[in-house]
Amino acid sequence: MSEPEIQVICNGERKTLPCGRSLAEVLPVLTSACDFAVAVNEEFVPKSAYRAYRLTDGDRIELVVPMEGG
Amino acid sequence: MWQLADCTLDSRLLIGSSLYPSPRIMQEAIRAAGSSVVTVSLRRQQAGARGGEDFWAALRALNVRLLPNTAGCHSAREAITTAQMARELFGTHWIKLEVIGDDYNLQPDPFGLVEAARELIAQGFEVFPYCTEDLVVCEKLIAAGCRILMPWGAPIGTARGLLNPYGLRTLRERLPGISLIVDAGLGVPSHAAQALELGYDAVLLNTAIAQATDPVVMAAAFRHAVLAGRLAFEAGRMPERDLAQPSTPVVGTPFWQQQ
Repeated sequence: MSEPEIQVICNGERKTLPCGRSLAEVLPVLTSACDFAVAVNEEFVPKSAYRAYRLTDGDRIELVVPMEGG
Repeated sequence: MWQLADCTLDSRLLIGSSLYPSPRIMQEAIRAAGSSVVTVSLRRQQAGARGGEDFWAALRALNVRLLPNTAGCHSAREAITTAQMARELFGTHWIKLEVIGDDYNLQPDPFGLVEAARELIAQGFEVFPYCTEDLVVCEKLIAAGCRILMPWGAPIGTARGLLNPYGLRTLRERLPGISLIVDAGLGVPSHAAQALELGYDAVLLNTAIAQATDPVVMAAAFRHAVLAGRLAFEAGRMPERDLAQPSTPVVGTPFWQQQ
């Protein structure tokens, strides 16, 4: 029997992830960046909350990195 | 030396980090400008996009104070979340608050700006709002807790200079205790000098340097213009007159014959 999965949108792209995982567990799958920040469903999620934050089906994740700006 | 929020700075030229031909030229231009405050943004990670690791490494090597922006946000909510992410990512409570109201000229949305400023200041941010020169909007931003305002000179990237010197001068006269920085629309060093001559505390610009044929030389030109403008303001300009007045003494003019 296969592991239950959820569908999320990360930076506009649909991703399939294992069900019941924390943000801390799935972030290495979603990015290779060292410096980044995260919002889920348009709410900022601080690093201190990654371990406790459980993603659910349909979540929309924004994962941002430093970029040039004016 | 001058005081900007909780920071003492040498340079009155704040500079953007975007649109340079390369990270190396960006580094050289920032050094040539003498700037100690550099604006940055945050974006989705995308392969092959501008910025990226090279840009970030080059910027960190400069050891400058970062001013993250909320560029591209169209609502107070987007701007607040972006600012929260920027605070964690860049390790600063400074935020250049942009809430765009019109995509054609990138004019700030004054209502969203005031709403976002109030909330971010309550959360401990030092808010640098990118606003227009509208006095009443600026007063609302001050009432929300802003002690720095950044009115535009002209729409972003237009290089048209100070389109409304009267409005900018009025802001300076009416808001003497506020740090005022002209942000956006400058094209040549004389535009920056004009802003400083009006008594503005600083200017913030990006494209005029980054898109110059030689960004490093143009950065040096802006540095000198900002110094000249500030010195002129401190020196106090002579009054304008409608009629000519000779500078050479009239008494003793040769060949003068009393009729």
